[in-house]
Amino acid sequence: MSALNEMSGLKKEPRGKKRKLTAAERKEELVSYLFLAPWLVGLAIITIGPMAASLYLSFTDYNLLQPPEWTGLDNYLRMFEDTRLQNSLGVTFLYVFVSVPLQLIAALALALILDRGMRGLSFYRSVYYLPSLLGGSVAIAVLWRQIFGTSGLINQLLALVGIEGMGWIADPSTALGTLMVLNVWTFGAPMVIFLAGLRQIPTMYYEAAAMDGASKVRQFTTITAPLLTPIIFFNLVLQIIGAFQSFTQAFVVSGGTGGPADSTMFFTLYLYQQGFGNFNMGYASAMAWLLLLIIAAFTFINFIASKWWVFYDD
Amino acid sequence: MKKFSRPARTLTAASLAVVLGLSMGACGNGGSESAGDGNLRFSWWGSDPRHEATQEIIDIYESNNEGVTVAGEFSDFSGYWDKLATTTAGRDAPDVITMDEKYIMEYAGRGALTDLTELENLDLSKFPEAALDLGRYEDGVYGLSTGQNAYSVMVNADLFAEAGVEIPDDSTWTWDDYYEISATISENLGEVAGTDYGALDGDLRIWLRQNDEKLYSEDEPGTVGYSQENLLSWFEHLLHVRDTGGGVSAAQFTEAAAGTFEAENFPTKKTAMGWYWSNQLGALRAATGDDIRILRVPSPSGNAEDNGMYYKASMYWSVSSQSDNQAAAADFVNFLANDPAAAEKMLVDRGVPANPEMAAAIEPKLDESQQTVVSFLEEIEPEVSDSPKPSPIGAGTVQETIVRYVGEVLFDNLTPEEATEQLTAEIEGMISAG
Amino acid sequence: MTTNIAPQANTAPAATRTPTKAAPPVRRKKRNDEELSGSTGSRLLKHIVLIAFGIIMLYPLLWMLVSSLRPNDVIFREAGLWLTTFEISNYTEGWNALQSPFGHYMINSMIVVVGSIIGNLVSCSMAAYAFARLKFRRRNLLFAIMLMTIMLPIHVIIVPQYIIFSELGWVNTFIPLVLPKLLATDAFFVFLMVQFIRGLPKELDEAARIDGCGHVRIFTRIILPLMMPALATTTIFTFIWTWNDFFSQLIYLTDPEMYTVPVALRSFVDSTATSSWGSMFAMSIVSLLPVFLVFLFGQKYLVKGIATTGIK
Repeated sequence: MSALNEMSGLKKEPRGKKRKLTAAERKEELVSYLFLAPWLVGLAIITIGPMAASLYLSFTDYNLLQPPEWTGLDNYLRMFEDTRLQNSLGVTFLYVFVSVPLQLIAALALALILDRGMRGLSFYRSVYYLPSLLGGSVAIAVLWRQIFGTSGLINQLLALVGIEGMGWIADPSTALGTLMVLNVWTFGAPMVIFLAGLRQIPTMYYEAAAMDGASKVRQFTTITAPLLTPIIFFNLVLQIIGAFQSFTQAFVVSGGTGGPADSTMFFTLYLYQQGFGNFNMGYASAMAWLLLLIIAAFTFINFIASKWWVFYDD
Repeated sequence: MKKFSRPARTLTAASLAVVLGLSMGACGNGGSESAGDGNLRFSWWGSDPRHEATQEIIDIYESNNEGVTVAGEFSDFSGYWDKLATTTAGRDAPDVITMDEKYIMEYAGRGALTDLTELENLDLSKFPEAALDLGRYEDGVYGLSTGQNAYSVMVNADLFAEAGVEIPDDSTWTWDDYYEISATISENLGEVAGTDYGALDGDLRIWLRQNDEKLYSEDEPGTVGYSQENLLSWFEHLLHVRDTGGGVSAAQFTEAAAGTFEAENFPTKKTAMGWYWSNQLGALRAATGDDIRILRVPSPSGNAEDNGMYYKASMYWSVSSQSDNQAAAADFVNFLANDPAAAEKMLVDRGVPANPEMAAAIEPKLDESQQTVVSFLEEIEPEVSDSPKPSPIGAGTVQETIVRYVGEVLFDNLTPEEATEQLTAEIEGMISAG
Repeated sequence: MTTNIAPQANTAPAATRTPTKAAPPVRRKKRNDEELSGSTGSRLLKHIVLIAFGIIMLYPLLWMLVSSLRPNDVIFREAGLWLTTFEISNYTEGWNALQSPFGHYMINSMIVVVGSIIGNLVSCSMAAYAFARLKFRRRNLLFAIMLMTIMLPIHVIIVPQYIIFSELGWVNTFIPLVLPKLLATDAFFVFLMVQFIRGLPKELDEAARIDGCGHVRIFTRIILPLMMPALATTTIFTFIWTWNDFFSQLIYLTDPEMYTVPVALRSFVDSTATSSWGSMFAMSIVSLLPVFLVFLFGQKYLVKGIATTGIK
């Protein structure tokens, strides 16, 4: 239970084991469940059932077309011998550790620039958000080859300055890099969240600080940064979760193969291939639960660490 | 902790329902022929011209059969299979299903499809035995070939002319001719390479067949049907093409493997020769705007009878075992397979019809490219030996696996020996699971 | 915890420079102006940098626009943005290529999108309020469970979920796409709103409670208006993500009459033979318009936070 307390990051309420709730507390509890009602119903009907089913399936041999057969821990043990799975974990970790920080820094920097204080901001914001609109559309697959292909835009530009390019997408050593670029380039979503967060900081703080003659840097470190920490934290947690589950971009750019040479084979892409390509849905489910454990561990660490750097007003 | 019991019970109930649903599996719902209301669902993949033509076929069928409705469901290729797997798992598969060689055994072997020979409304008598064999699993026929294709070499005659190379006589050409032509074109044209290697399962199959072997063993299910030396020699053959300068770079090869037809090397005129299925001729002409010709594949001896070419079913019509409307579904498949009205709308979009009467019926309506394909398939018929059985259960991603290893070899990440060993182990790992 | 952040912000500089507190108003005004605009030179520089980056950001859209005006076979042979021909027919053909005019699929998408937005706004904000402001037993457990629900990839969830909706007879309706949003299954937005609500000064609802307001009134009268940026974010993201969501819409919608924009767009593409790329790009551009407009107008509400509502 204490781990859960840590995880939620919400304040621990000290309560005696058998202490009776006061009438006011009981009323608040009732109100709470009313507010939570839609979510609880959704959890019971739509979410938990399939999650539990996938947990059950992870202990079975299930090919989607025939009833699952209980095989115990076989799927989990198999992961230890599956070198492609281990490779996909490596690819995924590398991707998470490189692209999440880069994307968040880009998003925060642009949110600060595009927050206020100049003309044409809404125009710039829209332009900078555009790549994120395209998301995982098929068009990206074609576009990325036009940019990073052997005869693509990058190589054409390099040729102008006399450098011979390479097949950025086709070479196993650079293919993952192009996906990281793609991810950083679609920083629109965290940027928007940062923008919204910046707008929630009361202007009176800045007015007061300006009155005191605080420099802009000073204002950033003493007002903006601390008050934005809940939002930075949110972006960090969710971007990590999202990056571990990255699928669409690799799927679209590599045509679902994770190629070249498995260099863009993200964990979820491999999971998808196992589940839908090879009809090993039992194994895919086991992989999904391994991923859940990994993501939960990272989220847990994040929440623990947040105690030291995230400031709430409650 | 007692407090948890009530929500816990609800949750257990919900998950139990799901598990029960799963445990019913695909089979066991045994659709009877009498039930059903005559409303059919029919699924296929493709792009918009096919959707349009197929809808016209449906309209004709509906107007001939009062009270029967056929609801078409279409999507792109990869989405199609995700959806079919999901709906089949949910015992909600369409009644008439378009199948592919890669997956038909998967579905048939696991009880998701109906044996077509047992459906009264479906007349299979017009189909040659060889065509029916393409959909045979154990004693039944689970998919009816929509039409045939053959894996072949496409050449860009305009690029050949530019390079000053003559188009070879495909009834006598050998691998050595192929190497020489590839190298010469690369040398003369610079930017354009001789060939795109091929390197799908199709030409590996041909290579093995030229050595009297098969990709999958038919006697011992779950094992490969070739000896290591012949797979090794295939990798070495690809390296030979690369080292003599006849092929595109490893990078270009890998880029093309991402699966956008129009972006591949041959359609974008980066090579003068490409390995394609015969029905892709028209699409290749449209993509290049050039004069594309279709050739037999090279053989080791220079004798076309040894070239190992084979017919493949472009797609299959199958009927779901979950269908409550099997009689109506059979009648609709019968219309698709045996009625000239349907054939004339389809033409050769799904391969050249295996039913000779249909092939004859559409002949006058074909354009020049399509006619070339039909006569090509007729021409090679005497040379074509028995066609391989569909890929076994578990083989759905073998093609991608082969391409991945070819890429590794072309990039020199793996030696041909390592690739041979690992590829074999991986294929056997996939197909033995079934 | 942060109740002391704001004072800190004033007191820290104030401690070192007490006299400025009494600085003449004239000087303060000047400083404010500077902050808003900066010198002409730096302003210009800022615009130049932003525009330069903007071009990189815009490149994909320009390329799509150009591709949508090219004949099919040129799209893959030309990497640049120069247009030699104008293939307007991509638009007319693409619009009519499928069984229904493309607008039909846009209307379907719009229905799913509007339902999802309403669902997310109502249900997620309610759940978030409970998590952020109310005390109840098992709160932390439930919060952790909520986070866990977004940690499993959809590919292992979709089959069991399909079975549920199929048993309920809801396949080929919009219910499986909209109902989960009405039931706050999108934990992303719940968590987002929790973070925003926790960023609001708690004195506000405490003051309201002293005035005798119940939780419903605090939620609707104080919290909701103040979390406008979060609600705008939710609206924009729900719109875009639902508008682009291919997988679940593909799985749940079987009748082409029910198809939505992403499913329809994929129907132009065949990985084994000719695809109508020109039509696909043309319709992609058409389908981008509503999303772009929503962003353009929606982002105005992003900036209507506590800062502009005048609450102090």
